[in-house]
Amino acid sequence: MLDSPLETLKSAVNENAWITDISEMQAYITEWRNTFDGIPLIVLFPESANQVSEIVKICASNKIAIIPQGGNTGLCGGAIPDKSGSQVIISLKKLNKIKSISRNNFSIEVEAGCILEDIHKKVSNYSLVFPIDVSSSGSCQIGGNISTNAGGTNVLKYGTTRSQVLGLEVVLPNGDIWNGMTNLIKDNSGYDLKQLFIGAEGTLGIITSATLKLYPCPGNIVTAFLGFDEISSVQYLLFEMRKKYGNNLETFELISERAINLVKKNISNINHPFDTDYSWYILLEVSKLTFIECNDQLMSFVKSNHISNAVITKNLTEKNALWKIRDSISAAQKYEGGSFKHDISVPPSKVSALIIELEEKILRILPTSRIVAFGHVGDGNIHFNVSQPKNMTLSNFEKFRKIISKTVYDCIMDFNGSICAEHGVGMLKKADLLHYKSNIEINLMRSIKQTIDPMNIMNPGKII
Amino acid sequence: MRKIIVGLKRVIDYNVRVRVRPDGSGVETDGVKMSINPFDEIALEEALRIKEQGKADEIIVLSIGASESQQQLRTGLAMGADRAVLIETSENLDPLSITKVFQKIISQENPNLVILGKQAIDNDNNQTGQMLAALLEWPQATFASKISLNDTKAEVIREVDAGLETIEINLPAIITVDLRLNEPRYVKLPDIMKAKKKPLDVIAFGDLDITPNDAIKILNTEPPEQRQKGIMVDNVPALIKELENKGLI
Repeated sequence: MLDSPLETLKSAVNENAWITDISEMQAYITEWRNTFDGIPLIVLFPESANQVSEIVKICASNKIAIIPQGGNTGLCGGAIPDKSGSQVIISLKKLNKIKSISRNNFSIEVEAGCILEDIHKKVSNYSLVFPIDVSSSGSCQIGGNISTNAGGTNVLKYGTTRSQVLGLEVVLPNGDIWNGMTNLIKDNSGYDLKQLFIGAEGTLGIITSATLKLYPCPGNIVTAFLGFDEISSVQYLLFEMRKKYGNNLETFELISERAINLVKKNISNINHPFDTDYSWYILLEVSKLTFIECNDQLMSFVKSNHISNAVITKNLTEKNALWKIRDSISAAQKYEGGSFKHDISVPPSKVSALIIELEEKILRILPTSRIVAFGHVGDGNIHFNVSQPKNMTLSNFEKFRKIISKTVYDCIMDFNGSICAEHGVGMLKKADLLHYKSNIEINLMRSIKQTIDPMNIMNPGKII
Repeated sequence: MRKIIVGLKRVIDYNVRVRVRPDGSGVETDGVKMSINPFDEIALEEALRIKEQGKADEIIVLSIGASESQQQLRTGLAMGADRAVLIETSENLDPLSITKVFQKIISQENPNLVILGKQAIDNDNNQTGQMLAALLEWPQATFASKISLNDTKAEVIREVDAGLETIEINLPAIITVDLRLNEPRYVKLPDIMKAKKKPLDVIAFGDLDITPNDAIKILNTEPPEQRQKGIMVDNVPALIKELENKGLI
């Protein structure tokens, strides 16, 4: 008798490198915000690209759907199976070797399951940096970062994950292993195939290894925290800072008063630098600038009435304290009931206009809603979250989800922005994508998908 | 005038992962973030609070080291110190030599209180405060976690192994401070501006007529042995087997 597909799949990986018992699967089938969950046939933990290829071949010949998964830190359901009990999760966590570092080429070869923070630690030993940094660095995996084209706090200076990828190794939906692990800066020999898989959320293949760019340490960075009341100042400050400091402008993060207040209220050990409240704050970092030079620059902003107050950190403990405020905003909102989250982007010069218009429109729909706006506005990315009013039940609040999100996205379109800035599409925004993208774009995406994955076994139900 | 002298040492920032130079000649400081020794920052914060209570008139921050230490002194001035003195030297002085510098400056300035960090986080010597008290024949209160002053005395709560000890000492005195004494303030813009105009005197160590103590020589610096990566075992018998294989049981 032939083995069942399930038994064949088990034999494709090392002994016991799989889970079929649902009670042991929790970490792989639920997203951390609990928005999505699923029931797979099996979770597999291959340890090499060959094992991944073997699994994909078995799935292809049995028409079994595959859900590639990294650290499962996503927010849009991109790495979660459906509830049919028939899909296979391939966790890349055991492909976690750092293969080599080339100091002369400023590049590193890693397997897809490497934890982002482990890469940071490794390259810091060589006084180098890998610039992609997100709040989930301690658990997200580089394969997931590439598959979602992760953004984070360093995009302003270095670009998104896409800009950091030199080469990829990908297992295709037919099980073939494409070795594109080059570390060439220039390579115009035909279509740039790796770009297809970056940000594809695992719908076109499974990334198993990558060659990534490294950069020299920027050296001393000065960190400052600015307080001001007029949102329109953001545009002036951003423009002036970019004009003067160019690529040395490392960080430009906007935080609203409500976001700060939620952090102060709900998160312990927060060391807030100001005695008075301001409507808006910016966390600013500049390299190759001294404390005194930074002070002079900020004083000129005070004199021109663009900021009211500022602190400049005198050590890394204070810098970490300010970053803790920034990184705690998501967690702080969890304590305030439901929240409609919008990860959106506009051209950087339009951030303040967008925020003003969105606030006005949302408050007209639901005046008691609590808007929490913050984000990497240096690159035009805003997290525009609408939290449950204090005097409203969650179920009543949920009734507003559709109209509020539609209002936000329609407004974004008016600003020539994107409804998915850095978190991706997954299952969460699939319908919105269809609605807001042109037919030409959707059809092009579909024909790419059809060509590479004709049986639609690679992460089906995501993006398109 | 009631003066307080506070020592500020430039050290590798507490949050930096320190790397030993390959040749063992010390730790890597090139391109590494340098800050005020955290205990010294707490000492300065306490001095500022004492002054704000109207119990002191002037705070002088004193550093001994290379020219770059001026950055830390400027930061101290931005926090609120009134003036700064740098004793400039490229030599790595030992605690006794450092203490003699303090003794000299104290004899010129006549402060009625000297507040120091309990130790610097680079060499962890924990000696300067105690030796200074001995050289000056002043009372000392080390590891302070609370300080209350009146005109002639200081009541100090000390962190000792067994808990907290409260002592009273006559002024002038040496107090060294512990981590829990206070949380230093952020420096805000107008204060940084003001700091640029405050006096910062640079005096060459050679002009002080102090012979450096050469009783201590650092021969070699080595990193601690790297920890082996842990392994996961499935059950107790597997654990026992692993331990047996390693000859640990």
